[in-house]
Amino acid sequence: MAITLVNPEGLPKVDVYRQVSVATGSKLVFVAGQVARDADGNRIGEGDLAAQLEQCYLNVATALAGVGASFDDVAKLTVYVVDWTADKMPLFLEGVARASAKLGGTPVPPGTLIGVAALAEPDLLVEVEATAVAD
Amino acid sequence: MTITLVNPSGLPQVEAYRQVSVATGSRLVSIAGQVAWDADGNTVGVGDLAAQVEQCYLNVATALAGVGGSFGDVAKLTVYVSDWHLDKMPLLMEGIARAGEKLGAVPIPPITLVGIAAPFTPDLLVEVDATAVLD
Repeated sequence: MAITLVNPEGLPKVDVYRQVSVATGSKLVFVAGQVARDADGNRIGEGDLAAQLEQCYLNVATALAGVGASFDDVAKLTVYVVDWTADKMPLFLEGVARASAKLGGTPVPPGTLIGVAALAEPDLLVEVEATAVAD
Repeated sequence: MTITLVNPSGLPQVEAYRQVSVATGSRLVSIAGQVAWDADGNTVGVGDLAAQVEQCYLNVATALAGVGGSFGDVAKLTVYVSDWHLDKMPLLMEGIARAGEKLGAVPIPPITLVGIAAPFTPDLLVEVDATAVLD
């Protein structure tokens, strides 16, 4: 396994992610920010943050599968959300849960969530950027 | 030391950071975005950008200590600030300076500063993303 997840002493322990990942491997994998589009470029989950986040996570997994990796190889996630407020956290968790059910496990690599002014297209509510390390 | 910091010719020389880092090592360390939480998850420095910046940097150091590293191993920083305005720069520098006193040196790896639309929760004024490389 290329990725070790750690919650060091002295930092709060948060359920939905681990604070640090240590990755070893010969290949550094950068994935373009993933948005709520299907393979044909159609919009998914318009106005629906949970559905869009689910699609982003599934697209990350698809991207990694294309290079022989998986979500287990993700070292870091950055999630950019439009119109973010903390009360949308349940929608966020719902999207992750739905993706996890399809992926066969709940991804918990270190994450950063950022409220942004806009993404590339007006219907996009969320974008997920993943960096992975593979053997 | 796994990190070399460089200011290449042709780019402005900025005191507060170096433009490029070259990192060698077998382990890529990714850290969840650090905010001004103490170990129990309480927000430190409410309404105080300098105090929050300091806490974020100290949390990054704590994260790295948990995997056998230190701030000297940081290859790249991204600092996300809500309600950013250039006249807040002294507060940012004050926070970094205070962290530097506690860490034994002022951190100067390559850094990107971004003004964001919304933080994770409204009391968090700043978030620091760090990537490090260890032997």
